Amino acid sequence: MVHPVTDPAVIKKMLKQKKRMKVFLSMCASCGTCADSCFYFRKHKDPKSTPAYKALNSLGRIFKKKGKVSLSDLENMKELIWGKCVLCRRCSCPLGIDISAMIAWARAICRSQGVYEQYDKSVKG
Amino acid sequence: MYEFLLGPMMWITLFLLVSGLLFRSVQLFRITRKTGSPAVPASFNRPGWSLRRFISNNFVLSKDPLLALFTIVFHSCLIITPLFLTAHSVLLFQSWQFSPGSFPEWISNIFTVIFLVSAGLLLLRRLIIPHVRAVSRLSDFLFLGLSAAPFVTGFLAFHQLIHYETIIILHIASGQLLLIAIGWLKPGHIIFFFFARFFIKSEFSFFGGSRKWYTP
Repeated sequence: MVHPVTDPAVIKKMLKQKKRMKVFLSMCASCGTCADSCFYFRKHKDPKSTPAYKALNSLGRIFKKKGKVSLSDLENMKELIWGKCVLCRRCSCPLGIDISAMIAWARAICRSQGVYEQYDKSVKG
Repeated sequence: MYEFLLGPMMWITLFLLVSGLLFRSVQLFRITRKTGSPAVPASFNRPGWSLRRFISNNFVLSKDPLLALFTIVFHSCLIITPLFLTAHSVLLFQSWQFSPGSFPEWISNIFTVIFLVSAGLLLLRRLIIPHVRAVSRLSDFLFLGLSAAPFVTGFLAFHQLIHYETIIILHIASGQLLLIAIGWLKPGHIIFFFFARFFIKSEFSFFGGSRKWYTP
C-alpha cells in the first residue's frame, strides 16, 4: 500500500538513529574508487552504479532535505537502491565508509513510507 | 592587512583548527562504543603476513596503483612541504623561538611542483573519468582548489612572479582558510581516515580495532 504523502517525523527519527551515516556522507571524498569494487558497476560501467553515487543520491538526498522528502523523491530512488544494488557488501572505501549500510538504511526509510522494490520488473536495472 | 593576518587571524585560525579537530574526534568517539572483546592482533603481527599479499589484497593499491601513487604523493607533499619550508621555519623562530628545521629551498620548490602536478592530475581524473565525475560535487572542486591555492600563491610569492605584497596576502589567507576547513569541513577526512581504519573493528580496519559504530 503506498501512502499518499510521506511522514517526515518518521523519517527524521530514522535519520537520528544513524548519526554515523551523516558523518560518512560528510567525509566522503567522492574519489570514485568504490566503483571498481562493485560488480554491478564492473558489468554495466554505468556511472550511476557507483556505490558512492547510489548512497549520495539516496540516503544523502534524504539527509540533505532533513527528512522532508516527497513520495516522488523516494520513488525516484527505487532504481538506485534496489535496481542497481543487491547489498552484497563488496563495496570498498579507502576511508572505511560503510556504503552498503547506507543503501540498506535508505531502503528501510523507503519501506517505512510504503515505497518498495518493483518485483514485477523483468530485467534488473 | 598583513599584520592582521599574521596576528589576530592566525590565533583565530589555530583556535578553529584545534577546536575543529577536537570536535571531530569527540563526534567520532560519541558515535562509537568499545566492542568489549579483545582487539585482533595487528595484521602484520599475524603469521603468514607479507607485503606482497597486503598490496594484492588492498583494492586501491592492486587495482589502481597510479591513483594510489598520486594520492600518497598529493597528501605527503601537502603535509611535509609547509612543515619544513624555510620561510615558515624563519617565521616560527621569530615568533616562538622554535623551528622544526627546513629543507633546502630547491627541495621545497620540487615538492611544490610535484604537489601541483598531482593536484592537476587528480582534477583531470575528476573531470575525465565518468564515474568520478558523476559523484563529484561543487564542494569537491572547491576543496581541491583550496588545497592547491596556498601552494600556487606561495610558489608565485617565493619567485616574486606577481606583485609580492598582494600575492603573499592571498597565500596567508588561503592557507588559513585551508587550516580552518580541515577542522570543520570535508578536509576533516584526515581524522576520519585514521579513526575508521585503525579504531573501528570492521573488514576495512588495519589493526582489528577496538570500537564499533553505535546504534542507540
